[in-house]
Amino acid sequence: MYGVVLYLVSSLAVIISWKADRDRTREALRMAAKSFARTGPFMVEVAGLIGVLLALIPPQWISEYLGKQAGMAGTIGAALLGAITLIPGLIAFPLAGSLYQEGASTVTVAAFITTLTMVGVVTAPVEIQQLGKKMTLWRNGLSFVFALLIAVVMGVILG
Amino acid sequence: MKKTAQRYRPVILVIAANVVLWYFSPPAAGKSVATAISFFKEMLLILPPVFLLLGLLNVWVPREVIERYIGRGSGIKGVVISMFLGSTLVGPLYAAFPVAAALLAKGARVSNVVAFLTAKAAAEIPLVAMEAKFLGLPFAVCRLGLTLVAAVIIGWIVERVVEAPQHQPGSNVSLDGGSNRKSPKGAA
Repeated sequence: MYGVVLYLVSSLAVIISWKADRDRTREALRMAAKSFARTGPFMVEVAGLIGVLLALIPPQWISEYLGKQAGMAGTIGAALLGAITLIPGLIAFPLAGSLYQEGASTVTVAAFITTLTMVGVVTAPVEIQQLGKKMTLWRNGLSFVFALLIAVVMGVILG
Repeated sequence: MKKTAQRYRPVILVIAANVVLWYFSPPAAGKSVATAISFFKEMLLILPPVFLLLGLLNVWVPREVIERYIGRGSGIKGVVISMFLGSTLVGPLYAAFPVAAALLAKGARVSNVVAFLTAKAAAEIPLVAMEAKFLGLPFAVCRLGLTLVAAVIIGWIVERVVEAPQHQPGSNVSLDGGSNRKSPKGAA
């Protein structure tokens, strides 16, 4: 559905642009093709990393593991798992919800959700290719630290 | 030749990782390859139109416009616009990286682009609605608020670090994406 809308919007935009100015549109298409070709190998890397990772750490295992762990160890474990895995929100939120019900603390669940969304170790190859190593490392590193802070503050506020 | 090898290093790495995995556990490797293929298909579906739209943005939107709204001197308005863009943009985070690169190349401020990415990653409105359903409204609202505050601070720090004067060769890779240094506008 999302893909369909995206294709409709972009083809419509290309058509309008073509009617307005052929040369500019040609230039835009050329740029798009070039950056797409350049990103290709990194897309393979990201997809491959996700495959290996999900084979090694299945989502069911995460809920089992985090359900058993308590206290600091559980929170740090949750933050690390959240940082390295990439689970779509559609699966992640129900998973976090079940963690909550199994007795994981607010801090642990918050750490998991926050690093899961903010820190992307597996998508780093594409991020580095687009934005550079320095920015990627700093953004992800700081996001990890702030994710832990957010988790702790949420623990204090929500109890 | 060497350049080609370097370019396809990611692909070679992935194949090697799967061979190792297969050595220890063939079913796990099978699962891994199946997941990778389905994920790659999703990326192939989503990224081409994203690059198309960015190509158009590049030729049609004047640099001044981006600079005015989210560039240096755009102030608090720039931060708010960036985070609003981030949290309303649907789709996967990896599709937002090219968008971020294009905005940077057009004169957006680093702190704003990082705030955009953070908001996109952790404060996406449709996802927050889902979060409220599974984890409760207080949890979702509390996390959303704290995340937006964090987005501003993280953006500010990353900007200081990335723009810190450094006189080493290749120190300005921050804007052109490491592996292709020859095109400074590698963002398209």
